[in-house]
Amino acid sequence: MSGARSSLGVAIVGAGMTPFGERFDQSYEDLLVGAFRACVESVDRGFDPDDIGAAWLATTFGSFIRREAVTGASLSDPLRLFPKPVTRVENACASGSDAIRNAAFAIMAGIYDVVLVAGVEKMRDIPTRASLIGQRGSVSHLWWHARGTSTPMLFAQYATVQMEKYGLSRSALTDVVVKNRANGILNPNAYHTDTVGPDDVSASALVCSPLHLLDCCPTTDGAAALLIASTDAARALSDDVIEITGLGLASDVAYSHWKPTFDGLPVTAEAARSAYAMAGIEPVDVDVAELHDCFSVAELLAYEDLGFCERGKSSAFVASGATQRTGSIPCNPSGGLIAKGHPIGATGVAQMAEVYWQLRGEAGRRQVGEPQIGLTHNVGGNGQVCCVNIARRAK
Amino acid sequence: MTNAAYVAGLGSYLPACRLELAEIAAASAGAPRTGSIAVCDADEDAVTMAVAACELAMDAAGTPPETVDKLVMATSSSPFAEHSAAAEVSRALALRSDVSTVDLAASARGGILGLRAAADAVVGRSANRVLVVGSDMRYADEGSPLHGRLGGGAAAALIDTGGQGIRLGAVFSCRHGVPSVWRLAGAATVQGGADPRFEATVNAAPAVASAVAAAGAGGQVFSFVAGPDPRLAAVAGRAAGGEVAVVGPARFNETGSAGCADSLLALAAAWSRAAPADLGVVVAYESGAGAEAMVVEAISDASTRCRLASSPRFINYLDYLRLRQATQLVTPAPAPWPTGPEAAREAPYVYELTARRCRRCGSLNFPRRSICIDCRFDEFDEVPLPREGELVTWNRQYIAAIAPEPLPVVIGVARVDEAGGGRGGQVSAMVVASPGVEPRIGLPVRLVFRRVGEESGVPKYGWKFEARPGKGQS
Repeated sequence: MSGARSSLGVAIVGAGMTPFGERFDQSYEDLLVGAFRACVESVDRGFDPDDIGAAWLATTFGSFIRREAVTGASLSDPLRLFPKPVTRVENACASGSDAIRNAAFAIMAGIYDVVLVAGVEKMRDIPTRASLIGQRGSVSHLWWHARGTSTPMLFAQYATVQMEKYGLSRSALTDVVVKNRANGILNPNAYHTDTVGPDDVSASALVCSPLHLLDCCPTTDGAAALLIASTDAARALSDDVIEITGLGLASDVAYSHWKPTFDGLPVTAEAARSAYAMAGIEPVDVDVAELHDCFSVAELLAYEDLGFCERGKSSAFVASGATQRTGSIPCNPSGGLIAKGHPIGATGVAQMAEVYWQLRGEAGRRQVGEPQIGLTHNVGGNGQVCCVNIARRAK
Repeated sequence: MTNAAYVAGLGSYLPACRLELAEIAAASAGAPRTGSIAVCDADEDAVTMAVAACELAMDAAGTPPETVDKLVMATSSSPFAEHSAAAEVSRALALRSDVSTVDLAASARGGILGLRAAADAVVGRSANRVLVVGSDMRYADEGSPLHGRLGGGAAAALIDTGGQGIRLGAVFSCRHGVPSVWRLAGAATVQGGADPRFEATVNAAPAVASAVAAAGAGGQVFSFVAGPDPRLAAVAGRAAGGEVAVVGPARFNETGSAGCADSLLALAAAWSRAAPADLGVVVAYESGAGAEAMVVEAISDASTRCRLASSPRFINYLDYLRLRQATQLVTPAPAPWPTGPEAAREAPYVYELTARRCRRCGSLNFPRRSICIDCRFDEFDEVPLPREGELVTWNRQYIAAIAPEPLPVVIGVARVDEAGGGRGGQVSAMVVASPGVEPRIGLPVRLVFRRVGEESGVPKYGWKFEARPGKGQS
């Protein structure tokens, strides 16, 4: 990827999401329709879905939980978009951001004027412990992953090493949880509607040392949608154009024992390097960030890998208040995955929706001043892939 | 090479968990007894113990796995009613795929029958090196005379014609076929055992007497009789006459009777105190079949050819009941998909622990890959995965129940010793609990073969880490 471009010519013109949570009353299709309607209705000057040129559907769990194939038709059918081209994107927890990235490329290629990106997951029709995330240790029939491996463990591995190597503190993990849960009560779309204190975190059940239950994001249903347009089309649709200026994706090994170190995620650093270069910015230029805090330690690692602070300094960084909504670089004003929930395919799309609202000053009680540049950070697996996307208010 | 068969190396493995007989007595309001029995942990069974014992026997004999021609596995407590435990063990030991595997089942006399079969094979030149392993984990019902007498363990012998170790002689049998000890098909516990003196007097003594008569004709005198239980061996010893040492399995009072392993364990105990040229007889009985007596002669000192593995830790009666429950398989659910093809494809690597070492950068790639994880080169040498290393990260996990291991479990990544590579050279595995050893970065570990749960009701085996004494530590 070469250096900064003056403009990618790509903008966001609408954003919508359903509340994340235990949506027992909502089907997979209901969630998609809900996010889609909210997204279309958000377009400043109105939008006719007939003008959608193509769509990308980010979803991961459909095949496992519904026990049927999930294709582009899983979006095209409920929204009655057929015969428009719809592509399913599955890249673990980074599926949503990667769908945005691929949709943006289609706009950059000049093929379409306006495209739809939707992410959805229906995870709570089965108990958490029966889900792939909960049961991975017992369903895995391969030897590659150690028997008993769970998703929390894949991130807890980093915490063990960070604690040994850099003195990462338990209180730093707690700081992330308390901050994000406090932000979440200001977000009507967040699953958790209450704050927690430091004692609540340490009193919650141990899941995988050193992570407690409240260090983990909840398994939730939910959907989110974005309308992405060429900047030319955007100027006709939008009063306050938000441009996408950086798109970065990186991959790494599939299995833990092939990681050279456990003190950071190389995929985040590499995806960020690509996105910063494309956008022509430095980490210090970021005004607001939505980070992939699937587990508290993941947000701390992201501070370091994204260049918000130095390697090994995340404990002090979060303790300084820099990432609070009033800090120098507010992180997860939406409440993040920890407060909001993590419907896998919807997560990256919802992250960019939050950045869109923050940049437009539409984030209500959780608005963080007047940010000009926002960043989303979306990790798949335990650092197998990472997508970093950057947006800014059009000058 | 000689025209006789020899035990060139002997190895025994006793599970770490021990239940004191006083616990059993307290639970059943019975009379207090001293001693203990050895009990399999939740991830151990006759197959995993056999692997551990065979590794020690091959090590004691200095015999690499690829030179073994035949494996005879004797067990009365295989986890499989159908499916070869011997084949399962041979795969974990990375024996050649053309190795002959034989299962001896259904009777605790299998240890001696295995020695006999191995001796016949090497003397008859149908095989040059044969591994014999006896391995059992036996349970009895509360109230049974066998409760508190049956335990678990494994012992293995590498048999060849090299002239070193222990020379194996003739076998004398006394068969009656009365079901004095038995386990019904599908049952979990061994029944009978009400009259041990009947066993010793009617079965063992005649077999030993036959051996004595045959040896006496040649003017030879026995130095020892080795049997499953020293109390019963005494009866057999009297049949041998004269000043005969009576030897039970090593630490019998600590471990209980381990079925097919007993005669091999007794042989190990007798060997360790025998002088070169001592003649003895090894007896198997309480098998529900009769008795077998095998004449043996100590040739070499035991110290370099006999390997014993045991590090006891005591459990309570509730733990014992839990472990007994954990090892009993329930009716399996139907398999959602077959895993046979993948298992066959990957077994040489993930099961037999073969790694690939990059010919350009030296990175150790495990499990196998075709393109080097570190340098993208594509030529490798296949090498055994080093079995020892140090943890580079670990966690204790409290969720996602994964029987048979009780939660929490410790999972770790280790860098294996003398392995090249930045990304290569590491292995992920569960860490077996070791009382008193808290996992830490840098903890020295080694790979051990254990049960890793069931898949569709079929026991699945694999490798785990176990803490080992590190450099400069005891």
